[in-house]
Amino acid sequence: MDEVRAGTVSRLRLATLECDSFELAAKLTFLTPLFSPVGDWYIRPLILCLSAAGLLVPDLWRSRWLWTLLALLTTLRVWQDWILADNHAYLLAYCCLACAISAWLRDARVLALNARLLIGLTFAFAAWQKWASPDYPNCVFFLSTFLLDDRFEDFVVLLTSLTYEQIDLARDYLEGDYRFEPAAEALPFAIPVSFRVLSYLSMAWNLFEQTLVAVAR
Amino acid sequence: MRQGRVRKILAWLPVLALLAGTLNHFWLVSRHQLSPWLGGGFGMFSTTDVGSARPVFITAVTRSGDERPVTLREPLREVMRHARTLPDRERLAALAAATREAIGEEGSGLDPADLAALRIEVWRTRYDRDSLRPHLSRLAEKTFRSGDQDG
Repeated sequence: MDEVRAGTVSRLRLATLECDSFELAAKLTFLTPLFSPVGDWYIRPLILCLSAAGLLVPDLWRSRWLWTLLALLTTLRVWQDWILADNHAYLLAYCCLACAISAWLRDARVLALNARLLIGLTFAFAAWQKWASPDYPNCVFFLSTFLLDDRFEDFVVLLTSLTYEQIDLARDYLEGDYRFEPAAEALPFAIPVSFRVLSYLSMAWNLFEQTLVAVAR
Repeated sequence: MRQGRVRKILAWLPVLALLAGTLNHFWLVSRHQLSPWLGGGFGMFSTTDVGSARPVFITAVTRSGDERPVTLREPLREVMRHARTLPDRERLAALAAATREAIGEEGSGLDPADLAALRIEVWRTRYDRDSLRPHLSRLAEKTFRSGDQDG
């Protein structure tokens, strides 16, 4: 079993080393919509088919027409979903556009330049908005999001002394309708130190790693 | 010479697109109350000013002056999400039009002939630093009278 796994890993490593940087970037980009399909009912199958073809048909990853179509479709998806499209939608469109231009110009350096700048600028804007936010550096963002966003519920209960019941109470309090009457002075329970520490560490780590990536690019 | 210049411009196009998109995001955030989470500016997870913290209140005003809150059903929630994310005139008018249509359907409990106006309010929630005490403030309010072109 271990030998099979070792063989698979070394074959993957060899295949990766044999790829040039454009081929590797192209194939990873094709994988993105395959793992996480995007778009409307009529855009999605087109993006999926083009991405699968790019992966399966030898040398199709070099095709300027394939990349142009993918760039158009991913841009169309952003336009359709606007204003609700999230950051991933924009990034996929920029990435496909960079691949298309690189393929048309037959110059992998164009892709390298764009990849570096797109990653650097994305992280720079993300980090800058966190530093400049009125409720991020003071931890209010994580304190409230950890209580309100149910994706973090288990994580918070596992790592702090908060209980599910307290999270439910906090949601009732934080999401009340306070247009006509102000909210009570504070949550119906004291915020535990462990929860404040978790929020502080999350804030500090995110600021640190995003700033670091932006500067490193 | 000219071909070289075109090549150069093309090579920078994705970065220029990202910069244009992000500048548009900052413009809409500062001038039109766009939620910093959306609009392609990479502000997700940077602020509590997310769509779900922007409650929308729709009030139907009858011809006799009575006011009744309107609750939107699922197909209209998408229109509401647009309105609370970017509460400009265009999106609030779209929400008013969709609400008016829903009131015209059976089971809404409101008589469309008796509807004088629809008031749409978008609020945002802020939290105190230490206590997390929430405060609501109004981001946008617009009243669309029956017979208005845009609502």
